Amino acid sequence: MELTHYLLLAAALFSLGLYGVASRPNAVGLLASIELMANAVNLNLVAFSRFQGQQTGQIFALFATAITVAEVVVGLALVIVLFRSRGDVRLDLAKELKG
Amino acid sequence: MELLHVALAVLFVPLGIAGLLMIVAPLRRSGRAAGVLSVLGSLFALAGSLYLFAALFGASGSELDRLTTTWLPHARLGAGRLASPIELGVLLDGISVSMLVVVCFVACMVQIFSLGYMSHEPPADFGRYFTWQSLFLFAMNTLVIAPNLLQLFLGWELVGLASYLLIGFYFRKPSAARAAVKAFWMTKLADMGLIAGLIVLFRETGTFDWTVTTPAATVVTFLLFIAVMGKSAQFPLHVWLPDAMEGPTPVSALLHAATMVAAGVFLIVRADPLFAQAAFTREFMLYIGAFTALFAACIAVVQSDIKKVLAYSTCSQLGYMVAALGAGSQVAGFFHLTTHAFFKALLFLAAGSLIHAVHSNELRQMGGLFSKMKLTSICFIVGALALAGIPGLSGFFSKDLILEVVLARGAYVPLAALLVAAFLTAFYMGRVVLLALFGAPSEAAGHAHESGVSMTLPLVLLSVLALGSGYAGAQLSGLYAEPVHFHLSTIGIVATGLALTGIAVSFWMFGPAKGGAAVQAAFAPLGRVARSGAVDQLYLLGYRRGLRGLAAGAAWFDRYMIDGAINAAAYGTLELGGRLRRLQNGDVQTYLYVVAMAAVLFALAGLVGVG
Amino acid sequence: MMNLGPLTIDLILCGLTFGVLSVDLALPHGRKRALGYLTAVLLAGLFVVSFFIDVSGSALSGAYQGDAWVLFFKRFALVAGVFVSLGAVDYVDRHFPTRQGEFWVLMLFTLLGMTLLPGARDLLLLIVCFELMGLPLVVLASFAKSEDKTGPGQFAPEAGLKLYLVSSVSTAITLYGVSIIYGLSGTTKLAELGGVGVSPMLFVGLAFALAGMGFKIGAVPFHMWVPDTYQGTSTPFVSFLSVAPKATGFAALAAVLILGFAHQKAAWAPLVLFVLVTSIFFGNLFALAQKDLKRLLAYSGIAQVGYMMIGLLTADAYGMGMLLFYIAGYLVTNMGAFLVLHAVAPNRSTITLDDVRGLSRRSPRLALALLLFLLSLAGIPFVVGFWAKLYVFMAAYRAGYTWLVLYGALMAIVALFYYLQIAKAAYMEEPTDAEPIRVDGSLDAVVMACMALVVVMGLYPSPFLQGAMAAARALFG
Repeated sequence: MELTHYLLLAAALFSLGLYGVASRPNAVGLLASIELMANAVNLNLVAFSRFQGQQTGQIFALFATAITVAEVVVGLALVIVLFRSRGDVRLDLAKELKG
Repeated sequence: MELLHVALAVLFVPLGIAGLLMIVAPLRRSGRAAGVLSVLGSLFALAGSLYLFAALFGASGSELDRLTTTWLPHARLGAGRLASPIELGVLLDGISVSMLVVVCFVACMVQIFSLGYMSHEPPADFGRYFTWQSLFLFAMNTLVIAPNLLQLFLGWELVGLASYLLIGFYFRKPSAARAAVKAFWMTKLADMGLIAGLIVLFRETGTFDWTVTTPAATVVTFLLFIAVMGKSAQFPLHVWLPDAMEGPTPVSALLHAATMVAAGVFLIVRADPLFAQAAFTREFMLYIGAFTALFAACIAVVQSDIKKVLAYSTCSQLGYMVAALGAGSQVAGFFHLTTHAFFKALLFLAAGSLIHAVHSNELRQMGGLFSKMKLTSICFIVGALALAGIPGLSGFFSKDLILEVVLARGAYVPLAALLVAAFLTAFYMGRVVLLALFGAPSEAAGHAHESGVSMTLPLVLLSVLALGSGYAGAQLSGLYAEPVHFHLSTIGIVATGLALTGIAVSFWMFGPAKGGAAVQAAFAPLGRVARSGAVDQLYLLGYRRGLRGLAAGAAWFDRYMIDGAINAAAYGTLELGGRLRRLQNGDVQTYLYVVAMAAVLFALAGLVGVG
Repeated sequence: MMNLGPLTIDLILCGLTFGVLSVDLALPHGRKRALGYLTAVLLAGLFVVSFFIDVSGSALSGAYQGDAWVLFFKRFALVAGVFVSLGAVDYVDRHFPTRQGEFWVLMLFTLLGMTLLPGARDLLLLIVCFELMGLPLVVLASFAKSEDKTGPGQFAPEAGLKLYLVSSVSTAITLYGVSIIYGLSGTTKLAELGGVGVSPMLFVGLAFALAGMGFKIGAVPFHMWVPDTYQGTSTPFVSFLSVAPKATGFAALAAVLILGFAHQKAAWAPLVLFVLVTSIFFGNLFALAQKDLKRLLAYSGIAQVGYMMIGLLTADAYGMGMLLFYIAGYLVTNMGAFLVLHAVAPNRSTITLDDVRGLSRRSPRLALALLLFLLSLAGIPFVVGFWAKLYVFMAAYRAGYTWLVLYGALMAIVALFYYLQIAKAAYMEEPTDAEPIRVDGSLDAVVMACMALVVVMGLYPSPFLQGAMAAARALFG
């Protein structure tokens, strides 16, 4: 396995996430897509770290994971607030603010 | 005490009071309290300026102290041409401190006088009046202690604003509102010269300092002088001054005796090193000044409104100062500015006291007031004699000095004009005194009575200075670079003779004998010319024929060409804005899509661009 | 012994945060209003302290740096914190009486992120600070309870969610970019990044990394959350959101672009130029068509960010100094403007032109303050916004972007139209509701302070300009 393979896999994951972010109408699905993007980042970091023979990337990946977790916690809380206020979690219906 | 701290306090205490009165509406509307506060501020400024003045005599050089602070750093003129930082600050030297004393003293007297004079105004208006008074004092002091021409310009414009507010104090009266606008526009028109002069100076030297040596001095000073002509009411830009008498009389005393109109002369005094490099400008000033002195004196002879007489007299005296400066004597011009400030303020305030008693500006409505208002009358007479240049009073010394320097310059035509003006000055002041204070009392004058102490006290104090300030001249001259010897010269004797003749003639014409009807008839055509306001007519003609035609053309172009284009552009922009709004559709996924696409496109652009 | 000198302010702030948290536990219900004042006093005290301690030097093995540049941003965040806590204390007390502690602690955490970030000299630390600042902002934006249907809670969930989604997607993109940069250069230290040559991959990484920062400063095309969030969330919080994260975003951009990739300027300058030109264009154009004043100010803020980016584009000490001056002026101007809007309609999140109609009759002081803020935003002499624009233009001119000066000036004229439209409504139109406005004391004090600063910085800009220049010089060593 070469570095390129890992990078291509990460790029594919990232693109999938990006696609999901722009297309999933369901808030929970959208959060999952963001998770995909974050994991692509982690894959990148770890792969670079491994192939360059140093630890920085792996430490970075740990921090990135922690950040993503914190983000998702906030995100899920917001989704709950949204659900309470309108009874569903469809994002395409929440567009009162515009113009 | 640190001198600079005193100077800063003198500057900012009136501003603080003005600001306080502007912001705290109940205080302003209370009237009386606002007035007292403002007077206290001016008293403080006066005390501070006197303290600085006292320090001046202990100092070794002429410059006491200087404090400047950078206002704008990095004023860069583009590639390679670095300008020095633009500074604001305080410059304390002989000129600025003496002027500070004059300004603060007159302002203080005027404010005390106003407590009585304006007491019949509604409280809100009374408070507004004193707000502007305090603001004016700040503006004028900013100008006076300016260390460079830029700050002087800022003060100059502030003075313009404050005087606009004060002249238009009775803004509900259409003529007062018009007069305020006229004064504003005439001086603004002239201020273009000041702005242009400053721009040229800055382009050439990269500073606003008046001590620089530059080949552009002639252009710069000539442009500056245009502004002076507007502010100091020199022919032909003097037309706003008589109209500005619409303001309350104490305002006239403040603006048109000691401060606002003197600002122009002060500018020349200040920028003397620049003017010294410009022989042509000085020559021009000499002639303009002498002509204005004579021209305005002629008109003053036939005015029937006591304030108009004094207004034209101010024009005339400013002409003297400008002529003196044109002849190259900084001291003569500034000395006359000082003495004139005192006696003219005295005259205006005393006239205000008379007007207050008879409720009219017209000389016909006065008459025989001497017996009713002894104190005011004596003060008025002191001022009139000082203005006429009677030996021993302040006006004599300064006028004499001016005549001497003009004579020494060998400029005989201006000298002759100034001598005739001296005769006319004595004559018209004699006329005013005789018509207003003596002779048959009019009906209104019959009920007149002396004004209150708040009005007479400033008169007495100013009288003392009108009597005595001339003797300070010798001392004052030590403060400047140019030493002056005071002695009774031939020209002084001639001028005194002319002044006495003028008074005698006025006594012969308007005194008890009422002789000399023939002379009066001889003056009649002049009167008609003056009342028709020939210069005003000329402006009107120029305005109607020239400017309006041009304006009509410009308006057409503006309406159909420029407006059309602008409207089209504005409409287009608004339309575009309205349409683009639909992009912002409220759907968060559209936003995410845009963010994602933008990132990808940026990356692609980079790949194409770099790769 | 570790040298933590450069982190002194941040460590104190961290301590204060936990202090406020414990005070919150001790305070009984009904007395929690004191927390807002406590926060303001503590932040103001820290601001004063910042003048007496030395925070220069290097810490955490070179990952953290303290100098005049960093100190500028620390003080900036503290001032914004003081203003927002005084401006919002009444609002928070009325709308979230029991949850005040959380509000202020979140506010302090986001401030901690802001004071920390400018000194970060390592990509990893930079990202962590970014999130420390960003996540509390998301929570604060959706702080109002959604049950509060008519009040500020009406749109809060939507506003918060939009901020959150754009934020987290941007962060993910940024992280992806950063991972590529790391992969190419093999390090996360900013100072060592520049060693890598210009390559297409680097460009991809850089473009992705910039996306997240573009989101924080609200620049086109990462701006679309800005108007929606501003409109939907509570006004005093918006006054903070519209200013403080932008400054931090610029600090992050400066860290990456100037400290990291100064030698690759040719690669990123076109991106910055594109973003700033489109920001000025779309910000102004969108603002023209707005009736909702918070949306209008949101779009105007997008345009203002475009002007600030000129400093970034020049990438020299002069330009960056002018950026700092601009954003310092923007702090007092924009916070002041939003707080005036809040004072006019303290119980609603939507504020329209009708609310300020005839303001001069309902509250002359608020009207005067609003007028000065609008003049400053429009760049009229002699308020601070004038010098800000002038000097930014001068920086552009010096760097050879003469056409940019003309373009900026032209767009400033367009902006004049919508700013003066508000001023006109406030001064020349009849009020729809003649009731005089009562303003909470501390809010009033902040508005007046902002007004005073707008005037002082306008009349006497020199010390502020020189301070900004000194700070910017520190960035370039």
